[in-house]
Amino acid sequence: MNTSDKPTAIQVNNLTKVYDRSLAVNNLTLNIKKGEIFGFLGPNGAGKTTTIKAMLGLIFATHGNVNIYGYDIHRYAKYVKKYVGYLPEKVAFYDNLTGLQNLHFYAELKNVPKSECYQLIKEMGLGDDLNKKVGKYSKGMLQRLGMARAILGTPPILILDEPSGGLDPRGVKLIRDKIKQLNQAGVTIFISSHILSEIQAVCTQVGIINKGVLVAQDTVGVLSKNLQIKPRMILEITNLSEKIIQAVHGIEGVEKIEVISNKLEVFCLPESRAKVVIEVYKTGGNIVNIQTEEASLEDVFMKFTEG
Amino acid sequence: MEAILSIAKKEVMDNIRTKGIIITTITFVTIAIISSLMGAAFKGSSGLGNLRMTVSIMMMFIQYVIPIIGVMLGYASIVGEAESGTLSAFIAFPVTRLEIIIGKFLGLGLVLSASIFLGFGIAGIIIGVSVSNVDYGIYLLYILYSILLGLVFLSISMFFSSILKKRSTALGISIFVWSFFSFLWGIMLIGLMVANHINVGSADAGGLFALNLFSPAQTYNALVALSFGAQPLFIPSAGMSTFADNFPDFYNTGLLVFLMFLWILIMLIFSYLSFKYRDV
Repeated sequence: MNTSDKPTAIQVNNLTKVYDRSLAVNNLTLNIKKGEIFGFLGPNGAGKTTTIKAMLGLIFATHGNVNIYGYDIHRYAKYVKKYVGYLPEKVAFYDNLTGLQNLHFYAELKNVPKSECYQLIKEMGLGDDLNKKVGKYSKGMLQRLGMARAILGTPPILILDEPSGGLDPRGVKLIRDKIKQLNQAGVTIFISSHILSEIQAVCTQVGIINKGVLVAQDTVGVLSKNLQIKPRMILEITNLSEKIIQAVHGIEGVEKIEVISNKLEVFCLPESRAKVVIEVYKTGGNIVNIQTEEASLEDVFMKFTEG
Repeated sequence: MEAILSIAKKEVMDNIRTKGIIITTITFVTIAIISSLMGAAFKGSSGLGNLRMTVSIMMMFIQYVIPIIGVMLGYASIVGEAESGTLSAFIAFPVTRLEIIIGKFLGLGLVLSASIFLGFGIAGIIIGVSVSNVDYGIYLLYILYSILLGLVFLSISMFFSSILKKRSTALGISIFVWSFFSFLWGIMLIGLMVANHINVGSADAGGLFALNLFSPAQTYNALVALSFGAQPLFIPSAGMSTFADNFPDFYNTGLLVFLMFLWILIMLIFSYLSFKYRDV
């Protein structure tokens, strides 16, 4: 089945949110298909969390609406929220209750068997701390417990706001593996993150928001192609000189050159790579290493959010 | 309904873990026993005094202590969760905002009621051992009226908690409202009476007696005075409720209890309406 043929899981229609005369989100429209992992990117204050809060019915849109599986998030709140799991950016629990008691409370709200809580806590690596008061949890432990809360009852839609926040590398891997595993089981996942590598590692689609406006939505490959972002080639040259740099600059297809110590970073089309190498040799350059990198999400992000 | 009960249960558990319920119970037991001992001293006897005198002395403390406990339980119920971040996760679950308000009121109300009941109950048993012919029916009614007073102030503080954006502002305003109803309103009415040369027994005082019922604290005082003949001692701030002998005809327990319930209902409706469209 083609992605575009899949049914829509989350539909954001012309969402506008104004806080005290400040425009947080401006006429944003998003369409997230069932089974997608959608990465939502943007600089600080771009409107990511506002969009997420509108998706969950936590805030009221100044204009526009959000539908989950075609149901308005406010009108059918109680029904729709059974199908959504949420990990907020600022994970918080009831400090005086234990991790297990906290999860039991949320399980009751979702009519999920309590036995699932114990299993999830163990899966999230908190088996030894389940009877400890949450007030004594570290930030990373809270994040893991937050993830357990989000996936209680295995909701078909998961909304994660900065899922790696406060996690050590092991925790990051645990969450990333869980995201992939859930997606393979058919869960639609919406991730907002500052960590571009995280988005690039797991997301099938990306949306970029800047100053409240959605500036792009597609796969990373299509976005970089449309933006004509050139991949880069890094040449390590022992005798890098001004003469070599000038010679490479003159080659057709070379967009930009950056010099870092004895490394020459050349942004050019793949068909120009051979010409660059030959030109360096011709001008007496001694190449000891060559690396090539495709256009990254970081390049795409920088292009869309610059200025 | 299940969601309401889950929320109420969580509130009770949270308060048991913070030991708030235990501290509140101990406070009430202490007040009841001290009041009883003071009652005995007034009567010139030794040991624990009779129930009527005990209730009169307890009112001195209770009319201030119970509302403030209601305020302390309720002021952070919504805004506290919003500030700590638990509210956003809460609302993301399949639960309506009405269920949150009702569940929280039930849970916190249960904590308040249980601590008042336990505290007064333990004290009542202690008094009953020392005093003969204790009418536990009257004492039970007094406990229920006191619980009602606590619930009114719990609902008032929940309203401010649901409408305000900062926990500290909610606390400040709730405490102001408490002091307004507990002290200022009574003083103001007596001031009005003196300024207008109104005799408390005259027909002109009817309007002031009606105004007196605008304050739930004054309504509670009037209710206790009307039901048990007990009056708050030495407190001019108790306003028109100190003039129990001159209560107008429309003062009856049914009306006063109804007014207390009305306060709770109106405050809960306002809490819900302000919370219903609140951005979290």
